[in-house]
Amino acid sequence: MLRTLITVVLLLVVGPVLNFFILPRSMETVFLDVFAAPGLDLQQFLSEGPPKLFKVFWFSNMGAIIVWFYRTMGRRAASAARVAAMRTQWWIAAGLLVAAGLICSAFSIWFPFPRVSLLGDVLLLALLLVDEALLFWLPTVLASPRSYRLVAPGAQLFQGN
Amino acid sequence: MKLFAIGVGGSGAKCLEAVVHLHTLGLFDQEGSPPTELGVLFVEPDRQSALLQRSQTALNRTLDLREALDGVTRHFCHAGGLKDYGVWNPVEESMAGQGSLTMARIYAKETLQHRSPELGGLLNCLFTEGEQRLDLNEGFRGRPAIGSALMSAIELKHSKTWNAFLGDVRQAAKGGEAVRLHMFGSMFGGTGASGVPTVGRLLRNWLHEEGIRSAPLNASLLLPYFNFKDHGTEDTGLHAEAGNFQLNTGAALQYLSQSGDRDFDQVYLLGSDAKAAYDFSIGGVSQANGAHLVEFLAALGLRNSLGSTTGDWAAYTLSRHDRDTVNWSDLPDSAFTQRVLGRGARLAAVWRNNISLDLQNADGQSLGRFYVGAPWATRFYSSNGEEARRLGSRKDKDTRLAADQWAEALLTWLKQLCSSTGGALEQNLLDPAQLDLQQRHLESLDDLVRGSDGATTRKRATDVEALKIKLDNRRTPGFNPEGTAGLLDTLWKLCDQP
Repeated sequence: MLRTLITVVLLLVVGPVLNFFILPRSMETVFLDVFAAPGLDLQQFLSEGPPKLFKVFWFSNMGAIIVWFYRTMGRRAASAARVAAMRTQWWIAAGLLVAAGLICSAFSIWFPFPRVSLLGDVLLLALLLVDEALLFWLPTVLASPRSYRLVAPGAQLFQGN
Repeated sequence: MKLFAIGVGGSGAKCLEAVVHLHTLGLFDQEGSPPTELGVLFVEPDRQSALLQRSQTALNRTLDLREALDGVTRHFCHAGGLKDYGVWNPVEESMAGQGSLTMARIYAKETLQHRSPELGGLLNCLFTEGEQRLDLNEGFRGRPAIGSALMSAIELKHSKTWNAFLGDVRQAAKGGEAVRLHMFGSMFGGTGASGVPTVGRLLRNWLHEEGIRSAPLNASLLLPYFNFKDHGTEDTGLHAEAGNFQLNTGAALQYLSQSGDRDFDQVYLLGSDAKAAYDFSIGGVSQANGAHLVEFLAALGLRNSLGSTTGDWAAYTLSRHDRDTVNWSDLPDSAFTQRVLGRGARLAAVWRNNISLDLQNADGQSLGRFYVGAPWATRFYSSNGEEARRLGSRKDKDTRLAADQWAEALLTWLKQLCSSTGGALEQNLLDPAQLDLQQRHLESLDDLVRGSDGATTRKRATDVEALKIKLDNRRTPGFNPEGTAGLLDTLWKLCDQP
């Protein structure tokens, strides 16, 4: 129950606040210097690039999570092999999320703002990975149906009831 | 309490199979008393008897399981020992290593005819030429007279097998323990019809000689409940004929009505108007009759006798409520019987057709990898030990094998029990289709026990997945069961659905 509550809070409170406010705002304050590059309209980049990227990625995460819970809740888990096979699907989902992050980055950062520094690109990708860990990996670890509770990699770290 | 069960002949052996299974499931245990101990002895002249071998297989598998679980489990097969006294072969006893045995040889026919032609003539009157020459190693072929003549000439206490059995009866009875002796056999064949009254009389005499009055001697006697699909031919030689079943039964019952009350304290007569049809057989390895509900009822007779005393004088009858079906309510002590049998069926089905398949698939892969699909395994198999890669120790693997074999024996027995009611008679106890041995995972236990409440919450609780989740949630205070034994023990508790 506690795990489910934490997951709901993560997905519906922490996730939106992080992606809609904290991360875009941190670009303008903490990481401002990282993106600066000759020929880049920094103001335009900060108001259009990262906010769009994090918003779209939040929706991607939510979509992946919904699909994951739909798949695991509706699936019979009488066989251990059948349950274990879901780990492949987890990796596929995680991989697709990374791909979605790259595509979002391409359309919201790289194509419109090709002059962003390399360090800036790397920072954005790293933040996307953290975002994915927080909004996809952690919820699948905490709130997957009981039969699938060890399917997400690293779930054994949270083995208690 | 100590129970000593004696199965005479093929049907008697099948009853013992039922007794052994029901003992494992705890049907003979009584609330507030320590678990009941059981000793079984087979009486069978036919060394090749498939029915005997099959019962012995069930017995040996149960013994193996008990040995594997000994000292580890707290609930399943925890106490209430089981002892096998082996097979007493009256023919071998009489032969004393002299080769094949015939009636002519027992009564030294040639000498008899020479010394006393009148007695030789009497022998010819009582037994046909074929009966006199019949090799008794193959059983009595539906001729109770032959068995009676042979067995009544034997003294039980001179037999090694009986000595061990009677010694334990003596020790238990004189040690103040509650003791019950119970015989099982058919009244319509050869071995049972001759052996039950004869051995019963010998046992009664022995109890008198020993001065043991506190050990009731009871019997579950089977009346005709099956027919043969075909008949024997002239080439078959002497054989049991379904046509003689009523005749044999009549003669045996007449004998019992005259002397049975002196031999047996309680008698349970069980038969069926709807006859199961078995393939014709002269005995030996070809006689592979499946288990039958009547044998189960015979074993329930043993349970019934536990609650009664020798002073009871009454005759009860038991029959079906509905002419065309057998329901749980037709069984004595139906709620408890349903609970116990349902629990056993659930355990065997879930174990053999699901958990065991998971464990088999896990062989060769690391435990950490297995945990991914089987989180419940984290409660029973530790990934820290040296044996983690092999999913338990060598001993644990043996336990798994023993559990598999026991579950297979129980499922086979239950399936036959619920399939061969005979004629148009339908059984409404367990679903035979759910008792098959499968290689694909069993997903649901719904309808395994027929006639249960079909409430939605109940149905969900019988899902195998739900059961596994409960396994995963299981933490017994003060006792952390380990390995396969702990897994079985926990599953046993979870399969109980009062």
